[in-house]
Amino acid sequence: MKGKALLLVVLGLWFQSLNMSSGGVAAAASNRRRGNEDFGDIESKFALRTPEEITEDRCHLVPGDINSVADCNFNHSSKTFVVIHGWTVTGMYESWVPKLVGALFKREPDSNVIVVDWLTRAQQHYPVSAGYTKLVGQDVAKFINWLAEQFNYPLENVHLLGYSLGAHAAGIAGSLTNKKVNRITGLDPAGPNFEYAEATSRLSPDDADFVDVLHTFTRGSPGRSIGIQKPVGHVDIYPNGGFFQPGCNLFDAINQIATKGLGDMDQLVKCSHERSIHLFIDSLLNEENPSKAYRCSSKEAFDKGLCLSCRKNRCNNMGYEINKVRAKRSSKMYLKTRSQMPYKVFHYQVKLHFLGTESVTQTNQVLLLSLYGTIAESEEISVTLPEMSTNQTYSFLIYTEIDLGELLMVKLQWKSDSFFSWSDWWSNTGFGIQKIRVKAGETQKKVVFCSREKISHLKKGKEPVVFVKCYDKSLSKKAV
Amino acid sequence: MKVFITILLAALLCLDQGSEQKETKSADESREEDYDYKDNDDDEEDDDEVEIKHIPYEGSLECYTCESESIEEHCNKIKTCAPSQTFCKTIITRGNADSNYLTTFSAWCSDTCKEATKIIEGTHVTVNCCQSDMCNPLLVDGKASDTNAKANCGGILTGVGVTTLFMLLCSWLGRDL
Repeated sequence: MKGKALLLVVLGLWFQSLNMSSGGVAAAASNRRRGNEDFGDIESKFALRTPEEITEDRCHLVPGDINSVADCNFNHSSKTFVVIHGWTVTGMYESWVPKLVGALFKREPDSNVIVVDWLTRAQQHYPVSAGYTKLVGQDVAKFINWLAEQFNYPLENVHLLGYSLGAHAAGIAGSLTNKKVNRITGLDPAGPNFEYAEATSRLSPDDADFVDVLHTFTRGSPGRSIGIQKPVGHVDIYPNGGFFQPGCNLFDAINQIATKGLGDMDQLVKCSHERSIHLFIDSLLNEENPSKAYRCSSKEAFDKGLCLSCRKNRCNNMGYEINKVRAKRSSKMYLKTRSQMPYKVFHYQVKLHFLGTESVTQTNQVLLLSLYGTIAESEEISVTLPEMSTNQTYSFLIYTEIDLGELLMVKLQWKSDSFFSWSDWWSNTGFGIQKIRVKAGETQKKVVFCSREKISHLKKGKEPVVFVKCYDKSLSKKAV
Repeated sequence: MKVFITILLAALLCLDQGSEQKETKSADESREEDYDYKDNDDDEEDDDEVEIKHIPYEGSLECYTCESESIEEHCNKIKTCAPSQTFCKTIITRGNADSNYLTTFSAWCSDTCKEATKIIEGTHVTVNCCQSDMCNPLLVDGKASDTNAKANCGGILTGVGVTTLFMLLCSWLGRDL
């Protein structure tokens, strides 16, 4: 009972602070004068972490203090990651910070990983902290410019990673550096106060040579959602549609409280928000199997399986191994993920054409599909078709959590409306199916499955029907 | 001697038929009947864009091509493959179909091929790969081998053809039957 009450209080505080948005920003910004070339007004701290010490800030790089750079063993010939945290309730680093730092070192062992500490400014009321992103961005830009001027450190080696408010701070930093930094990764950039903000005061494609963004918690009306809804980078990826992430619902939360206690409370509240970071960590750790995202006009079109193309840069890797594609207009990309690491799934578009002599239409019908491949077979996948009509073709998206290998067979069953339905029993509702067409996103292969008897009869509530591969084709030469 | 002539005629006829089929099929791929897709989207077009009508060139692979045919149906269509398609692929499926026990056979030109045998829910599925012209005829024992199928003018005469050839040989040797 105590736990529930606490959860409610935290939730309440969170949303209250989000709604209090507008006011304070301008005031906070105008309180401080724009800094001169001296570094006295820099409040943010820059800790250089090491593979041995991923959790604590042991050594700080101090802008203006040349010795600090040598003292911390900054590696001038390696790339540099700058991690910028977001708003914080506790005034402490959240648990993802060492996880991300560790993953960066695992992937790039020689790199410099700098964690920006703006915790005091980040634990104010949300709107106040949101206003501070401008100052934090200025701090970071000054620091980077100093590195570049003092040590001739190339900005092509700088990659900024910002989470939530930190993403906008990174954007502002990028817009203020003397030369563009190589890359900014925005991890679910904050929505409130920024959804309708001008490009100069939030993360935007102009802030770096390449800007990639993960949107993981955009549920709610625009301006109210925790993550920003509109695309703000060169490539904007919306995993699972971007609204909400699998494994983050209330049931999962209660389950986690039961098993792990209340220690990770703040984690639960921001589960979907923080998922952006863990997806990026996944991409650092699982180098060989990057998740692919697919360009699509809408989430709805993606869910119909219509966007699994990789031609003309229509697909890209999510996370660290992303291809730097700069379209004229920013592009929204979509993918499905698992609820935990490794997040990768395998996407398939399935196309069915229903044959029949008399015209039949059924609505909201459930099909059960199983895919069988050379490596493994899928679980039974349930698909709800809003409509099934004679002589119509339907397309939908399914995905599997495991790699099935090359597909060989498909099993299809039409579930009856209820466990025991008289109407299904008496009527003989059914459609003829000759072929099932499947397009695999990950392998970029098109596979046709044929009925073994030229035409199979899919009957509601009856035995499943089986289709065997009878044609396949690679869609692009690049496909693996 | 009459027998000899009939056999010769039959052989000629069947050769002719074979080459005819080849011409018609090499034109364009079994350009899968395009349904009027209900959920048409701009992304649909790219499936087809890739399929450029290719001109058969010296060294194009030729494969038997059919979709889920039973043993009795004879897979005798021959297709000239696109340059990227370097395999003749066959899938043989044995097991209970919707109504009764069936052996079905599919064959096509493919750009990738990996041999595999799997029993899926009681159905035996075998994938065969080969890389020479018409190396994937439908053989009764259900195994596509590397026999040079050009000699026996397609799958039609695998059964009849052998005996005919034997008779042909006999008459050639002057021993009228």
